[in-house]
Amino acid sequence: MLDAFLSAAAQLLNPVVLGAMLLGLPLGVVIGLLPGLSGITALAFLIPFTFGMPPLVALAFLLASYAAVSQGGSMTAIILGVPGEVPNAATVIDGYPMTKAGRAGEAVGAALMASALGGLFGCVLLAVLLPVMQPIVLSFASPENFILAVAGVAFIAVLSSGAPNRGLIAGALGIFLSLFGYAPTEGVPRFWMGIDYLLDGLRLVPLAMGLFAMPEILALMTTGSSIARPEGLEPISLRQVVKGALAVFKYPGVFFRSCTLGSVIGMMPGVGGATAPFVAYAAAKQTAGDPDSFGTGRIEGVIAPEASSNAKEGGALVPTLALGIPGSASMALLLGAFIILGLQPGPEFLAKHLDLAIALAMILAFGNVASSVLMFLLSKLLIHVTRVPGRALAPILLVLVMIGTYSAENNPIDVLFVFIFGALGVAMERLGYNRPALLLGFVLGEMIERYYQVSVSAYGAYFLLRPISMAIIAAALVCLLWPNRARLLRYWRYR
Amino acid sequence: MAEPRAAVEVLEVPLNRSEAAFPALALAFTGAMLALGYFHYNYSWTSLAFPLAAGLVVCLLCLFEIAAILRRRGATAPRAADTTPLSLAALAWLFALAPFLYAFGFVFGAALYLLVCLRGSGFSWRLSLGTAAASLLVSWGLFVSILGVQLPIRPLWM
Repeated sequence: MLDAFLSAAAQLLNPVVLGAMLLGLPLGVVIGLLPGLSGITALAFLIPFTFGMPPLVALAFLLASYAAVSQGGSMTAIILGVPGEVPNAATVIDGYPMTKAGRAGEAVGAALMASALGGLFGCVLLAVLLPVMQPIVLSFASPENFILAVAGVAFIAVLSSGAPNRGLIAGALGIFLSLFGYAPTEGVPRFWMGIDYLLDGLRLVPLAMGLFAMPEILALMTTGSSIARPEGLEPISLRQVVKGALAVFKYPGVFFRSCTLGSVIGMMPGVGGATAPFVAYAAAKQTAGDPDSFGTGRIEGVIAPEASSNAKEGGALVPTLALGIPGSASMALLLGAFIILGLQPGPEFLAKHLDLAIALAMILAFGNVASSVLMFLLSKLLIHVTRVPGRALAPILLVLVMIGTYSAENNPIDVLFVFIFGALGVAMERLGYNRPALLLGFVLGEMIERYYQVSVSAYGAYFLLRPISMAIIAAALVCLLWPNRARLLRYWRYR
Repeated sequence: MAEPRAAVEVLEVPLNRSEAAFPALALAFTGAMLALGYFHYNYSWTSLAFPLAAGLVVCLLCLFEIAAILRRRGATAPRAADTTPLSLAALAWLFALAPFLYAFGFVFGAALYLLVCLRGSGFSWRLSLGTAAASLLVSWGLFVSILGVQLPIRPLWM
């Protein structure tokens, strides 16, 4: 094992590998800053450039840019309220209110530190767990994945501010909306109403942009004022950023819990990395003394999703490398890159190339730290954007959102759906419905149905009675209901 | 350096019965989709089972919410308090982008929209033209040339 570590470290110090990482980082940051473009886009765009490269150089280039994308998305989530990619939507909930209150520097500092350390945590865990991971990951079958996904949506829904039922409506509606288009088992198009666009179902990027970006853009256009309110304006300073960064150490419980949740969720093949930041946010809120203040600019609300978001990447690499089963959609693309480069991840890969696997964990760790430094250097520039008058910033953001949305699938109808989902987002925001729950339900809906169908086929109607399934259900119910028992009763009785 | 202002958001606002419209619409939409699937498209049980389960959950939760709103007289309800009244002018500017993109394509339509929008909001010609030029640079230079995104350059109606 020690030999593998030393060999991995020696390979990383190769100037060509370092150069590839330094080239991938700024490309990832630029893609991350563009709304709608995600880590998958970054990988899809950059994989063709790796043809002919030696495997480690190519993977260094891809993983460094992939690590940087998430950082860029966090910045736009905090500063503009526009999530760069779906998992960043969890950072918007408290990050953007902090910016509006003139605490953007703190939020950025906390996000960068939590991301960097979370990424390191995930990578260390990856390196440690790689050799022993196989039996644990394989013990989770379709019923357990089904329950985990449903519990993920329920966690977010019930923990919405003071309105568990509205959160559940949003989560269930998100799952229902994800079922439009071809059914996974029979290939029958559902609820398409004769509209060709709906044959492939509703799309994720227009939904995310409509739910989160459009209400903020409309608010900027309506008020005409800058994002940071004049009374909260304070020049962004190194001191403010450092204060935010140090806040991560003030909440070690939030940080370590979020990292662990992120890594574990990332490891589950097929559960989907988008769940991790939302679950970590929900856990931070649930364990806080005053959960109702979340959503108004709590720094733990930034630390939790950011730490888990980056920790999950290390976790997602575990099944990808150890089993050849991708832990997320991006990892599926990365798996393709491995095969293109002549490598076949799986149990044999670890036996033959343990040094390469550890080198990849180190690259991801380096990418997380280096992209945090890069974003820190850019943050002063980006924070000036919060002082641009809303009536100037809003149309610019709108154009960026529309172009970014179009770029996801090159389909102009997606742009129309941004407006439609925008109306839904505005209504939900004003009426106190949980937008992240709807988004997460939508992200996981198709997967939940697939696992449900497979579970019923393989285990029959009693698939929920498997011991691991029952243990997860019991744990989820206790976590959901016990801390909220008073709130649930109060909601029905009207407080 | 001044202490940052603490973010305060009031989450309880006076109850408005019209809030029942949202769950009612969600209920009507979900119910209509399920009815369409069952009566019009005649989906098989395998195709409809899961949407039916998810849809019924939505319907039941919406009914619960409507009942909860209607039985609360003079109470408060959870709502995001930091909302500004909707402005028709802002909505008009927001939706104006769609005809620009349709009429002039994404690259030139977006630049033209920014020029008109910024000038219309009282910004200087210099700033408006500069922003429009920057939009051209980003949409053409970055998206089309570098990222290879096939943004429609010609008007969508052509």
